[in-house]
Amino acid sequence: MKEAVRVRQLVKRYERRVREPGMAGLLRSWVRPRTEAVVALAGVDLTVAEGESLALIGPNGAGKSTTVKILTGILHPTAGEVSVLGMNPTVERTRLAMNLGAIFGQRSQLWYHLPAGETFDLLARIYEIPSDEYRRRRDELVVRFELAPLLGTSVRKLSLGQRMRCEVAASLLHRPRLLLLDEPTIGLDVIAKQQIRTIIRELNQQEGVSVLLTSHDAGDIEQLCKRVVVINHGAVVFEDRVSTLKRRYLKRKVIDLRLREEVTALPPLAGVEVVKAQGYGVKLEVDTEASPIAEVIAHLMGALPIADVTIEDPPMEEIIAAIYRESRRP
Amino acid sequence: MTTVRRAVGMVRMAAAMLAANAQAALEYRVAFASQVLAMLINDAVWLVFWLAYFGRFPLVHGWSRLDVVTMWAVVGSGIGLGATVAGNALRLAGMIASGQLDFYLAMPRPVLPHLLVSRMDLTAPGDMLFGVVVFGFMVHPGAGQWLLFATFSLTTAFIFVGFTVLAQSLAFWLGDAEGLAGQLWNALTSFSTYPTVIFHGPVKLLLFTVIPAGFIAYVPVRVIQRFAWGPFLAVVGFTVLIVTVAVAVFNAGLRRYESGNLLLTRD
Amino acid sequence: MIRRPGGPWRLAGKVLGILGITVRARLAYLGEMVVRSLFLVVILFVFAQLWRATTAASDLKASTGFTLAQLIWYLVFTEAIAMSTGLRLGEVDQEVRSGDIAYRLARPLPYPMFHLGAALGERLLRFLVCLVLGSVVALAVAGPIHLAPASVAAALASALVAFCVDWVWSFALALLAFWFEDTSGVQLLYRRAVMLLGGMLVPLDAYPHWLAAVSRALPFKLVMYGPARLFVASTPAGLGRLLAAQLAFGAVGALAVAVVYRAGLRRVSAQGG
Repeated sequence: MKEAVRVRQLVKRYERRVREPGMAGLLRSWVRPRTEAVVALAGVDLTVAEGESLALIGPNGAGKSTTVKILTGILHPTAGEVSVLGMNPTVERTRLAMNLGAIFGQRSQLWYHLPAGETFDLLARIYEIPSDEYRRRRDELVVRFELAPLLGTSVRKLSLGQRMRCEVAASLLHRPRLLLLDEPTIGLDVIAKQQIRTIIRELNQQEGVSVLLTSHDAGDIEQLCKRVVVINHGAVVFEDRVSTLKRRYLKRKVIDLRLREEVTALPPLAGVEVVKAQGYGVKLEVDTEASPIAEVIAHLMGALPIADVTIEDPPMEEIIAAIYRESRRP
Repeated sequence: MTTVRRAVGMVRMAAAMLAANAQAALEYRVAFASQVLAMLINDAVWLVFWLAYFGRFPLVHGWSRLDVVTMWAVVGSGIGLGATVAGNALRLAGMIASGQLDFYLAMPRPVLPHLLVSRMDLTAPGDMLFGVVVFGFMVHPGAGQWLLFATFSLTTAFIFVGFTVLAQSLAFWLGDAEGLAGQLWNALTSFSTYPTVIFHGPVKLLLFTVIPAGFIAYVPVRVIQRFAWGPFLAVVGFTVLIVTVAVAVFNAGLRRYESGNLLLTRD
Repeated sequence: MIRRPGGPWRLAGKVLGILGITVRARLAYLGEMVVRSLFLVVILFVFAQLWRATTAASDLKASTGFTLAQLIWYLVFTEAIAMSTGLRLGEVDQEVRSGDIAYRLARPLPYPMFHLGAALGERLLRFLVCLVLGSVVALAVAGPIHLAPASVAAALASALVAFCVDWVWSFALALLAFWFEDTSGVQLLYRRAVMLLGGMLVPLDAYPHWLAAVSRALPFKLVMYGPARLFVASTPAGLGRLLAAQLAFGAVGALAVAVVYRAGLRRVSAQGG
């Protein structure tokens, strides 16, 4: 199986100029420059298989954007092997750019005062797409993303969700094999987020476009990616499937009970903490290391007149926060 | 009594803002110094060029090169002073259009002075310095003339700020007034940097009313040459007038802004 | 299917694409552009009065080689060149400092080429607006002069080349943003040099001798004086020499951009952005 992205032992060191404040410090730094080495990446391994969808996450300053910049050839690695779509980004940056799709949530590539169609035409030129191929692809995407009524309106008059759909379409005109997503749903409302995530998921599944996502949004990660790599302090601290992430990292589950009668007393159970017990509702937090969830459920079913039960995983944000916190410990 | 107290309060606030802005600028000492230096070189080259020009093509109406230099010195130090203290003056139209006034409206301080002094134009001190240096070295003034120079720098600063506030306040009624206000500003500086003596008739009237280059350049130069109470008081009087009108217009516009009638043209 | 990027013709096509879309995007704001050009009315009027008030007014032609009307029309052309510079260079400053440049670098279009297309697009549109407006004002203020079609064509052609040359050097200076926090000072000085040593306000022929000598020795005249002089001249003589000089100056500038740009990217990679 081919790999869309292959990174082995990636190291990136910066030489930062150290400068004391004030005029004297500035002059001194000109006469005798002092540098300090900053290790941004301390040996990172990363693989995105072809057709796979991977999330790269980490707190700010962890090395995420450094990694992405190296993958796009903007920064040169200090050591290590980097291969993107079979190319070395440092050497073949332009050729890689021709085959890469990128959506930066913070920066649109659509020209604001013109209809999206104008940007599409421009992109056809920039990505050197033959005209008949371009027209076919554009019409296909317009249908797929329901852009027909939007194409004649200037981008600034579109809603944020509509703009994002145009943005995604724009990034796919040249049939990239790898799609880079950087905070793609930032600032969008809930409905728009769902729309975009659905589109990208379908693209990944139907067209086999590999996806590399960097995002702080847990929903993006959960819905778009099967695997996740967590980076902190320039090193990979976790790498596995998203489902494993949830199972391994938080040994907690939340049980929400709806009773047939008003609650009076609850049976004491090891590893179970009562969050709320009021009227017909009971909320419990279970430490699944102390008591396996199956046992707890069995006990509760036997002891209480249960009308309905909901078992929830802890929210993704908590899981990620736990990983960040854990990796901070020496 | 309260007006005096309020005035003192405003001056104190302006001084505090100025100090804060200056400190912020000095944080980036190199960038600030290079801005000021660039402005100085810019002004100096301008001066050399025009002196050379007037050397070759002297004016008929009796304005010597020294007069031209005096004009620039006053305009430079005056506008420089204005832009240093009230750096937000030229950005007012933009601030109105993008709703940034809300911030100042929420503050327990009079809106206009507060917002004007919140920013310092980093290149303006260069102009100020240039004006003073040129006046000292090329005009060789006496003590009385220095005093007049200082006074006129002050009046020019106020006229500049007043005029700018007036022009930029058009944004309260016109929505997108940045371009127009910018053009009015350009007009003022243009007419102030060429010897006003070359204009006659209706244009001259214009220069003492709508585009007060006459009070910024022409009269101060004449008075510094030879003092006369009439013109001097005219300048002072006009300064008071334009500031009063500017404040009134701004406040009228502000009332309109607060009532929500303003059409915001920015996204 | 992995695409390969095409050669220089493809690149030129991309630059033209950016140029075109910039023009189309700007056309929506034509009205605003006209308003911003009203300054022309002021400056042309001021200069007409200035020239009339000089002692040499009666024999301007003898001392400068130009009549009063020609001086005003000369100014129309130089002001159109001067006022057509957009605000794009502040953008370069900001893009480099904030790291937004990374967004542009992810596309298969070299960063300088993107800015070339955008800057030229804006400049051409602004220039035409200013030229038309300025001509109207000049007619009112100084009256018509004889404009030879061949000279006008020569002036326009050399102006186009001048725009590219001017851009190249401005951009090279703007790229100093890789090293310095604020390049606006040095950019201002460049603009001032072009203006005063390039003969914007007054043709070099009218300069005092020492200043004329200095200005003729420097390349700034290639951006202003060269094209504007052709505009009011009776023949397009000198076009060939002007174009050659412009292209040479531009080539050196392009080299400067290539060197500075490469060094800048290397610096970002070495020191972090």
